[in-house]
This record gives sequence, structure tokens and C-alpha cells, in this order.
Amino acid sequence: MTVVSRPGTLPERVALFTTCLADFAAPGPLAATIAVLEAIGVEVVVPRDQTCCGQPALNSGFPAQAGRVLAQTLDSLDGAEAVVTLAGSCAAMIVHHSTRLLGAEAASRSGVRNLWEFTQFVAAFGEDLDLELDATVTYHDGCHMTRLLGERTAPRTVLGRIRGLRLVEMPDSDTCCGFGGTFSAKFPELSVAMADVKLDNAATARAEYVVSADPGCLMQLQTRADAAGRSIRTRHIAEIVRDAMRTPA
Amino acid sequence: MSVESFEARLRALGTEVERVADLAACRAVVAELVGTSRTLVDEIPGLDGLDLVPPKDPWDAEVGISEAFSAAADAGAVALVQAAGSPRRTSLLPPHHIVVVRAGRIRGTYQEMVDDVAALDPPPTGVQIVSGASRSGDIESAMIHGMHGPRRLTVVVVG
Amino acid sequence: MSTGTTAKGEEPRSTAMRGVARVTRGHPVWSGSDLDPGQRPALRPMTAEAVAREGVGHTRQRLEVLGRERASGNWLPWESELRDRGAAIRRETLRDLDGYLSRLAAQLESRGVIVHRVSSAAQAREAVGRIATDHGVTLVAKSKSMATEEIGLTAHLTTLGIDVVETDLGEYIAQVAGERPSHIVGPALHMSRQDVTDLFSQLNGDPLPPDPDVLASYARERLRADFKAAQMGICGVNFAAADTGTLVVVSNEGNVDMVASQPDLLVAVMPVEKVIPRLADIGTLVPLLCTAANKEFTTAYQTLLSGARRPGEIDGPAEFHCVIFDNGRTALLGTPEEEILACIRCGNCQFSCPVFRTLGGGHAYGTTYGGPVGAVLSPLLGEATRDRDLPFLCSLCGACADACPVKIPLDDLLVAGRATYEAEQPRGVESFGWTLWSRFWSTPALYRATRSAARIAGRLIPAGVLGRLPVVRLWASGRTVPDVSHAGDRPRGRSGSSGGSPEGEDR
Repeated sequence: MTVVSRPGTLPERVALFTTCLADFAAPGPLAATIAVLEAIGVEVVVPRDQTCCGQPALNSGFPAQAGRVLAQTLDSLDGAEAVVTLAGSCAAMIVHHSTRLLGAEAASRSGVRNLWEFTQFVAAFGEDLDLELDATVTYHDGCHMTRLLGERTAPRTVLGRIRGLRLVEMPDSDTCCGFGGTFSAKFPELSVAMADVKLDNAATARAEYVVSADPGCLMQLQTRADAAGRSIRTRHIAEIVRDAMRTPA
Repeated sequence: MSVESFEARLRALGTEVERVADLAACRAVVAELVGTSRTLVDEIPGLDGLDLVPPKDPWDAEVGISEAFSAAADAGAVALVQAAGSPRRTSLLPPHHIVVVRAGRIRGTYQEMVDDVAALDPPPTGVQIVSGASRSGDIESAMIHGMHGPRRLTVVVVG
Repeated sequence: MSTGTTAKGEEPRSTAMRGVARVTRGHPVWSGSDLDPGQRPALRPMTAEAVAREGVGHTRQRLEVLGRERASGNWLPWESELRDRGAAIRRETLRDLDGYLSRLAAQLESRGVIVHRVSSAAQAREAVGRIATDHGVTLVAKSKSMATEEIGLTAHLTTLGIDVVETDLGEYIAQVAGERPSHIVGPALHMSRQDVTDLFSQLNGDPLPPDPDVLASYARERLRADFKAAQMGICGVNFAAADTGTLVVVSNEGNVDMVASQPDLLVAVMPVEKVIPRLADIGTLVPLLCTAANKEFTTAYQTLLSGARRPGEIDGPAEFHCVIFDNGRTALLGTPEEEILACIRCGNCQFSCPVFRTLGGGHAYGTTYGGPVGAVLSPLLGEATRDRDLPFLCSLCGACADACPVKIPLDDLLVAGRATYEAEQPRGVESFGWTLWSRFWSTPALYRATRSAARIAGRLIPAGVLGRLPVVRLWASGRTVPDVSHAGDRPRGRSGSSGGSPEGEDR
């Protein structure tokens, strides 16, 4: 297990690790992430040559290929004092698997050592954000962030700072949504059945938004809800925080 | 370890408990519990010569009486050594099982009771650790009391 | 149809199995106890069928309740201590498994137990078969043992003309239904009480009420006759203590005590990893197992077997055999996969697994052991051929690793199992595809090109058409196609900087 270093003071500048999924299909959460980070007072740079953390290949049984792609992304993040990503599962992948794929030296790369998942960063440094939002939300704890990264408290800490926000918990909030990366394509019927269980649980909270910190989970749940004609709306936690910002970025 | 904590744990597990001061009182309690039921009784020092009705066929026994070798308060458990004078059938075939436990044999923890058993040299051919009557949750997790072993367990604590 | 009928199809010798010919309750071929290990259907159609079966939602909810009770990952302080000690004890033997097994065997033999150390599943079941035929056994009463499932023991004995009856209530229900156990600890958890009622009513020839107490009594009476009549008992082993030579078997029902004491002949069957260093270790391992499996400190009974009947004893086995089999396990020693040998068969990983629950239990894994432990272990066992892709039947959520009382890193083993599988495949489309992917996505310009291609496809190709493309169509069965028309619209920070690299449009 790689130990992530945690500077106590706000870095001047952070590199944003966009993740391939957000690059391809989640521009909204990316923009929101930048807006929130800038409101906290950091300069955000988006290294051009980053690609992917390699998780799709590793989870498909191709670790060498995964390592090659991860190496490229870590190269693009070298030198960054802090790296922030908006996907808990990509953060978990990097922290948990880098040394296994690339050797012990990987632990000292900027992209590993200085990596923050978005809510971790906001929880640590965003206390002074002026946040208010009149909305009811429920929260889905993505598996990799919760169990692999071990981050169980930051998301609710952040949501708890939004005045007027009502958080209604759903049953089994940390049960898998059924995405599992390539699992969703290898076992589509099973993956959809798991999404339905999560959507049924989320619906009992009667919230306006189902919120999560992983674009993968959100994509799984929203596309299933849409195909099934359910009125559930999902939103990335970065977008909720950005929506709540009283002082525009 | 307190005898009271042992008794409390037994009761929490649905085991009946009788506390008596000495063997004489123990004989009286046992006689009352058993009545004229067909009974299998192990060779228990101090409990011989009880006026009990044996079954013609051990499978038709209604009560079995054993003595514990050791016991554990935290688990509400007793350890029974199976040997020449204490066959396996006594604690298994009849629907009601009575176990006599000397207070001085009760340990605080399951580990201590296990250590007692593990120290027996040579090991007995069989030891049965019992903490409650038989049960099953195999049908939709509904708890059924009384399966293949006894459905009623009574512990008589002596001393 | 269920096993337990004689080879000639006559009325069973087992009282408990009489009437089994009347049972017509159907089940999918992949849940049958007669599923040939080499004939397991492909995982995708099997799991697709499983999630669509009537009643699967209710089974899932029952399993969710059981999973919530166990709150995987949330070990109380005393449970945590137990877990730390138990995890250490379970790895002690892996340093010198053969040494511990030799000590165990020597101790057992010194007290009259005949020990058979065999390698394969076939050798194990044949050894038991020979013991039975040597003694003219016609009826075997058996307590619960996943190891005997693994080696296909009941089917083998049946072909030898020997009747076998399962005496654990859940196993008995599964046997009557002709199915394999669904969960390691609760074999019939996939059946509702109405299912059991219908099943026993068919067995009985007359309706029985949907009352668990009545149904259990019905089973108890019939099985009691079999305990009396059986010439041979077969039991599994939870832990085998090497220092004293003691086999430890836990049960709530008392059926282990029955099969280990009433017939004159007893055969205990265990795989090699059941050995533990010391009998005293059960002070940790029994509460750990029972807490993880059943949220109870101990089971009603722990049965400790150390030898054959001594002079003066009137019950217990006059002849006592112990079959210890390997089936691929010792080959794992010294590799990362040896971790799976620490498993104490609590079934907690299964309760914690959303895939296991959504499938309605373990049948849709098509193998003896389902759920996370099965997805890791089954591909590693001796005769597995079609099971090697089981590690993919998992969303990698990690709940199993949290739930494991002996800290097996199940999720890491599942990822490793996938790599093992792919490394064994001949170089094909998938391997080529991922290698091509890795070249493109480790070259920034090519990564950007795939992004542009997606962007164009997202803008020009209607979603309906996109949804029929290979791979995409797997997503699109049940989900809408994600909008990739903005692929590459990486927003910039206010400074517009990419952190020091030469600039150009970020497309």
C-alpha cells in the first residue's frame, strides 16, 4: 500500500488529473472541479499529455498494458506539488496498484505521492468556501474510493458544509452500483440488475439528485435510469459544490 | 469470572440453569427434573445410585445426564469428555440433556476452557463442547429450536 | 433428479429420501448437483438467466439482510483482535504444510485412525468408496462438507450402489431438490419457506403447512431413522489440530455428533489446508468462524474427534478413517495465491458480495464454491477446466476483502486471477486489442486522436447506430449510450496553463 503524503498547507498550484472517462464523457464535472479548486484559491493546470490510469486493462487481465499507460500519465504529472482527480476509482487505482505495476519507485512519483481525490482536497482546504444550496440529495459511496482508497468521510464532510442542503441517506449506500469497469460490458444483464438495485434504493430517499464522486458510477446509474424511463437525476459532487458556491469563481 | 456471569450467558442462549449448594441438593434437583422419564446417565461421582428408569433402547431415552469437564462463562459453554463411563449418546439422543457443572470448573473464557481440553494427555477419543440446545436456521433463516440433538438443555451448577 | 436413489432406481434405503421420485420441482441445469464439472455453461448466459429468474429478488433481499447483519468491514474491537490472531494462525501452517500434516497424521494414527493422504479429487472419492465397499455399506449418513462436494463424493458412492443421505437440514433440502448447496454455510438460502414447503410436500405425497418448525420436524423424524440405520458416517472437518491429532467439526444441529458416534464406521474428509498448529487455536478460530459465518460466538456444538473407540467405550466409531486430499492446493504454496488457503469457509465474503446476492446465490457460478472465495479458488483447483474465467464474475467492489475474517486480499487475488487467465489464452483478438490500446493511450497524440474520433462519432453517428457497434452494444442492452460528443473538451483553468509543456490546442 502506497503512503500518500499530505502537505498541511494549501499548494499554490494543482495539476488536474482528468481521467479518461471524464475526458470522453463527463466535461461538466471537470469544469465544476476546476471552478471549485480555483474558488479555494489554487491555480489549476491541466497537463496536456495525461491519458488514463490504466485501470481498464488491469481489470481485464492485462497488467503490462495497464502499466504502460499508467506510466505515461505519471510522466505527465511529474513535478506537480499536488494532483487532484475527480474520480475516486482512478485515485484508488493509482494509490493501490502503482507499485505493483511499475515497481517500488512509483511510490515517489508526483502523481502517486501527491494525489488527492477531489473531496479529500476540498475537505482539507475548502473550509472557507461560502456554500449554500436548497436541495435534497442522496449519496452513493463508490466502491473503490470507499474500500480501496479507504476514504469514507470526506464526501459527507464536504456536503455537510453546504447550508440548506438536505442529505437523505439511501439504504446500502456503499453497495456496488454494478459498473465495475469492463465488468459492465462482460456481464451486462448482471450489471444492469445491480444498477436497478441501487436505483431502487436511491429512489427511497426521494432526493432531487443522486450524488457520487465517481463519474463511472454516475454514468452507469444515469444511463440505466434513462433507458428504464426513471426520473432519477445524478450529479457529480463537484457540480453540487459548484452549484452551491455563493461567490462565483 | 463469576458464576453469575456464566448463568446469565446460559440463560441468554436459552439454556435453563439451576444453582445448588452441594451434591445432595444436586441429586434432589436432578430427581425432580427427571421424574420417571427414561434416562441415560453417565458415571458421575456423587450422582450414583439415583433412582432412574433406564430406556430399553437408548434411542427412546427422554433425558440424558452428563457432567462437564470444564465450562466457559463468556460462551455459556460446557465441555464434555466422552469415554468409557460417558458415552456420546447421553448428550445426543434424548430430547432433554442435563449437565452438572462444578462451580470450580467454570472458566472465564472459551479459550481457557479449550486450554483445559487441549491439556488432556492422551486426548480423549471424543470431546463435545455444548453451548445451547440444537437448532437450525436453514429454512429462510427462521430459527428452529431442537434439530438432531436435544431440544432442551439444563445446566445444574453445583457449589 | 436428486442423488440418493439407488443406482437401480428402487425405493431408497434412506428413510429420509423415500418419496424423492415424486419430487418434480424444476431447477436450472446449472444449479443441479448432477452438473458435470467440465460441462458448466458459459458465464454470461448463465448469469443472465440467473438474474431474471422468478424469486431471485427475494433471495437477494434475504442475502442483503444477512450481509447487513454482518456489516462487512465494521469489525468490533473484540472481533478485530480475534481477526488479527486468526489471520496469523492461518498462515503459520503455510510455512510448512507438509510438516504439520505429517504430525497430524502421526497423532491420529497413534490413536487408531487410519489416515489416507491422497492427491486428486478422484483419489479421494475412490478411497472413500473402497472403505464403503470393503465394509458392505449400503447407507451412508453424511454431515455437511464442502470438501465432499468438491470431490464429487456422493455421485461416486451412488454409482457404487451406495445410498447417501445429507443430514444437515439445508443440505438435505438441497439434496431432495437435486441442487448443489447455494452458500457455503446456508446451502438452501436460495429457497423461500414456501419453496421448501412445496418441496417437502412433494416428497411427502401430501401437503405440509408452510411452517419452518413443522418442516424441520418432518425432516428430523426421517433423518433420525437414517442415523440409526446407516452403517457408515461421513463428516467434514473445520479444523484439524496437528499437535493433539484432533479433528474439530462445528454444527448447530447435532448431526455431526450423530454421524460421528452412531454408525460403527466413520470417514472424515478434509482438504490439506484445514490443518492448524494447535488444538488450543480453536479458542480463536471457532469464535472467529462462528461470528463471521453466523453472528454467534459459537455454534451449539463443537465436536472434537481424536481417535477410534477405546475398550470400554460403547459408541463412537469402531473404525475411523481420515482422508486428506490436495487437489491442486500445495502447488499454490510460495505463490501469492497461497493466501486463499487461509480461508476458514465462513461464507461471509458471499454474503458481502453484491454479485453473489444479485445472482440469487452461488449456483450461477456453476461450480462447487461460488462467490468471491469460489471465483479465486475454483480456477486453482486440480480438475477445473471451465472455471478459469471465474475471476471476471466480480465487479471488484472490494467488500469481500473487508468481510474476510482472516484478511485474505480477495480483491487483489481476483485481479491477479484475471491476469493469469489472460496469460493462458492463446494470443487473440483481446490481447491484440489491449496491446493496441496501450500503445495508443501511452502516446499522447494518439490518445488525443481516439478522443477526436469519439467526438466525431458522437456528433455524426446517431445513438441508435452507435448502440449496435461491437462492445458498445454490450453497454447499450439496458443502458443508453453515453454522450461522447464533447470528448476532448478539457476545460482549462483560469490561467489556461497545461503546466509547462509547449502549448497548442488541447484537442
